Amino acid sequence: MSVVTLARNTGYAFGENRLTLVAAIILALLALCAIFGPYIAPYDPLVTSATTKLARPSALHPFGTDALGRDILSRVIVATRLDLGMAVSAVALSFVVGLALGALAGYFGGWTDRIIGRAMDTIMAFPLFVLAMGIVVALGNSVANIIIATMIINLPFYCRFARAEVNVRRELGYIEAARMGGNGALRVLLNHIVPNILPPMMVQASLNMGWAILNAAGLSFIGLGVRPPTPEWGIMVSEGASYIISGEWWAFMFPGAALVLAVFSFNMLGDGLRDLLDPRKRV
Amino acid sequence: MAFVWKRLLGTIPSLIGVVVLTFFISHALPGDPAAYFAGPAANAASIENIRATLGLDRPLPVQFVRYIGDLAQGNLGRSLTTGQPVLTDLLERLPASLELSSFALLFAIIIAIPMGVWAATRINGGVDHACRALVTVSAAFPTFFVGLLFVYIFYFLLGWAPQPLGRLNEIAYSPPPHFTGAYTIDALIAGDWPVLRASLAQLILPAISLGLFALAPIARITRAAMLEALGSDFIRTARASGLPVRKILMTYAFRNVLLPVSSVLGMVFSFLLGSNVLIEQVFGWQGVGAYAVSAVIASDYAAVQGFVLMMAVLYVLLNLAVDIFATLVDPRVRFEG
Amino acid sequence: MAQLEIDNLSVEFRTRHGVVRALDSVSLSVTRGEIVGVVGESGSGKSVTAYTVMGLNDEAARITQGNITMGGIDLLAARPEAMRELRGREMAMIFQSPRTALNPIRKIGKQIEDVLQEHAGLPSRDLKKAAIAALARVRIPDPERRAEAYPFELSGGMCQRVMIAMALACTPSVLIADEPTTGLDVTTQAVIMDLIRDMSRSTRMSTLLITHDLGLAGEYCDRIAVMHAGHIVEVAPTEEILDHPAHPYTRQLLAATPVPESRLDDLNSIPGHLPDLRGALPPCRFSGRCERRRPICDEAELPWRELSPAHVVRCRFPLS
Repeated sequence: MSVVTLARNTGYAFGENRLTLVAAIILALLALCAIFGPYIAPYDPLVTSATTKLARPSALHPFGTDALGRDILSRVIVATRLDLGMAVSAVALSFVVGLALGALAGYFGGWTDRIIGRAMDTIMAFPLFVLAMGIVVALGNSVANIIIATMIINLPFYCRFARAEVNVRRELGYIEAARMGGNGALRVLLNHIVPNILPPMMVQASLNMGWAILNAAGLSFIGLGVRPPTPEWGIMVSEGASYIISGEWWAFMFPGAALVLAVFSFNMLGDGLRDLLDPRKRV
Repeated sequence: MAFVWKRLLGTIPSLIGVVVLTFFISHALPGDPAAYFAGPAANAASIENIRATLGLDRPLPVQFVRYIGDLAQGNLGRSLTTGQPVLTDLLERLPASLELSSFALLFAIIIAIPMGVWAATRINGGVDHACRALVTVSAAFPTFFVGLLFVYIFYFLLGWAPQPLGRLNEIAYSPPPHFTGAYTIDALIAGDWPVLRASLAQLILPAISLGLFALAPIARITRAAMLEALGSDFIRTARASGLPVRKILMTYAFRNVLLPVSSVLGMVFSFLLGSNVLIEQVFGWQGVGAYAVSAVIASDYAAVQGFVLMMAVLYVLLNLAVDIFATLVDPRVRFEG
Repeated sequence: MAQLEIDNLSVEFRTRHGVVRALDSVSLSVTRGEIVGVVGESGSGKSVTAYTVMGLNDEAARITQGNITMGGIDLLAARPEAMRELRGREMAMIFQSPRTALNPIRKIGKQIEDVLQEHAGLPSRDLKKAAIAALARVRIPDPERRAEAYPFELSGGMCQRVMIAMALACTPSVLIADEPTTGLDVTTQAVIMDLIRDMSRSTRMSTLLITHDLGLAGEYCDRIAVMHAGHIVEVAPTEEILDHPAHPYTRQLLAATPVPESRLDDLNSIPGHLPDLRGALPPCRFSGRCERRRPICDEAELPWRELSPAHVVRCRFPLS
């Protein structure tokens, strides 16, 4: 191999790792904002001001102010908790429920498998964002229901993944041995199968986080779940949208950029984790 | 043609699933539709009254039979905001949405497939890097944010695009005579060039912002499938037979790429139909998505449920079309049935 | 002059892990109507030789010295477009695992038509008939119907016949068969090999049979060249090499080849591995696994020994 190729390859690999590192740092910062948001934010995110409506970014208001004179930086910071919270809870819920359903379907097969499989197919027969809209409207317009809707549309991915993994492992020698040893089904599943499929599912979950954030933000962008004046990135973008045609860009740009940053970091971290766990799947 | 019938029959379970789940969402979930229909000013008695007229006080199986009966007659209920039957409302607005989505898909396919092919034939070249960057970016940007960014850049900063206020500037132009409901096509049929120009100008930004997101997965799968095809034994045979490069790339490699590409189209359609809602909202596009959003805001229950059902049925049909296409491309699928 | 002449050919591959000297001074010739076997373990350079002749090596390959001529045409000097014109018309190749070697979504008749259209100069209305004729020539029953079949509808043996029909469609003067029977069952193997032999004889085609199976080569070839680690170590007429192998490696290969009378414990596997073809190599690349090795083997330049005009061996101390 020529020196040039060698250098390029090393640079590439290093660049990828560096991206994962950067993503981890950004996520740590976002986590800080989520936990300590209200203490970090320079202003109260809800206090309006008639005198500073739609002020350009300045030293006083680095991200400018919105149509009601509220400080956008503070609102973006405080919104972190809600946006990440919605996505994390939705993913955690679909992780647990999907794992449980998928493990049951994969382990018992037969009717259990057919019913669960059919249910997942039915969810997948909908355009997922549209299904989420329908669910939130039917359940009632609240943040909790956004989480439930996001959970449901994520469910099939975890369920199918867990089912496939359990199915493969069920036939392996050590599982057979555990079963012969007189262990009950639940015990075999919990002690011998689930621990082994957790790592790949965690990777799936971190790759999925970005998508969950986008979905939740999309739902609030069209006016579901989060109510004004609560700061939330999706709804802030939506509020700022009205001022774009008159050139006040900061009101939609910063919350949108926060969304992009969060999603991008989760995606990069997920890629990094996947490479760590299974370098063969690298594209 | 037997396989087409087989595919058609294969969609029936999906359609049943869609209807059952839609019913479940609208009737069995804890939300109270009667309260919605009664509106904010209703008292307990009037809610009960509405519950009775809607049949919501009957057992679920009875409600389900009634629901199926209504569906069979095309009765999706009446919209609170427009006062019209939901189906009428939806059908009126559907062409606008289909126009937008089709243009977006067309844009995506026209760019993505040559891009993926090119990237695969020149690994680590410029197009390959662009392809990868696009995949990363499109996975991280919300559609609605990209739409707004485009408005800011191309309307406000550059002034290239018209104001994002719907399908046609109706102060300057009147809509073309109705044939298909898609302004661009209708204007083309009527030979009304100024209106065609104006409606295309309105269409470009939303179609591109929507299409960009369909572009990335198609380009990625094209690239991967093309790489696999180029490394395959039958390409080696084609080269050993001295076939010209063009024929090897197009007839041998590319036709084998179409199958994996069509398998990713299902996901792309799911995404397009969902994001359509957001993009219509951003660009004031008067399609079914924008209709659903105003229904959401007005708690117009029947309208939202009708929209969800219509999108699901549309999605099932699109997947059917993709399936049939895949069957036409690949004889193996045809024989497996 | 022989139809196909490979003279002193050396090929290396530039890889991530260093330069692999895959072929070193390989010389071989095939006359018209002759079947020459190239035999060796996998990694010995048989396939690289074939691919270099066809001009199908990938970009990492470098031809560092030597010459290849076919019917007097200098193949290594030919432009890529000229090489493409020759492939399929003057020289053709068939491969192992015939089922994946055919385009899975194109009717086999069409695939043969593609070759004919490119090389035979037939008007397009005659292509279909010519493709069916090509199928009939390799004794495929009911060729009109088979032409409409897709590869997955045919057995492996039938696919290999299709491959042969495709390779021979334009009656090339050189055929390279790279492990053509690997993966086929034994009876089918014999049928395919008989077909290849009959075709070579009847069209006076020069055939290079690449195989790891010395038994197979012994049955069908006129001459056999034994390859080891990028070297040709022995070339001789088939009977001669089977009865009087001169190179220690050839003898080991023979001992490892099952014959009908042999029992399992008569079979020997060849000790040691092929040497790493990167970095410095001794003049005799077999010396590392040779039981007759002497110190001088690793020192001086390795001579060719001519045991008879047709039997040459690359060993300082050949078996007698």
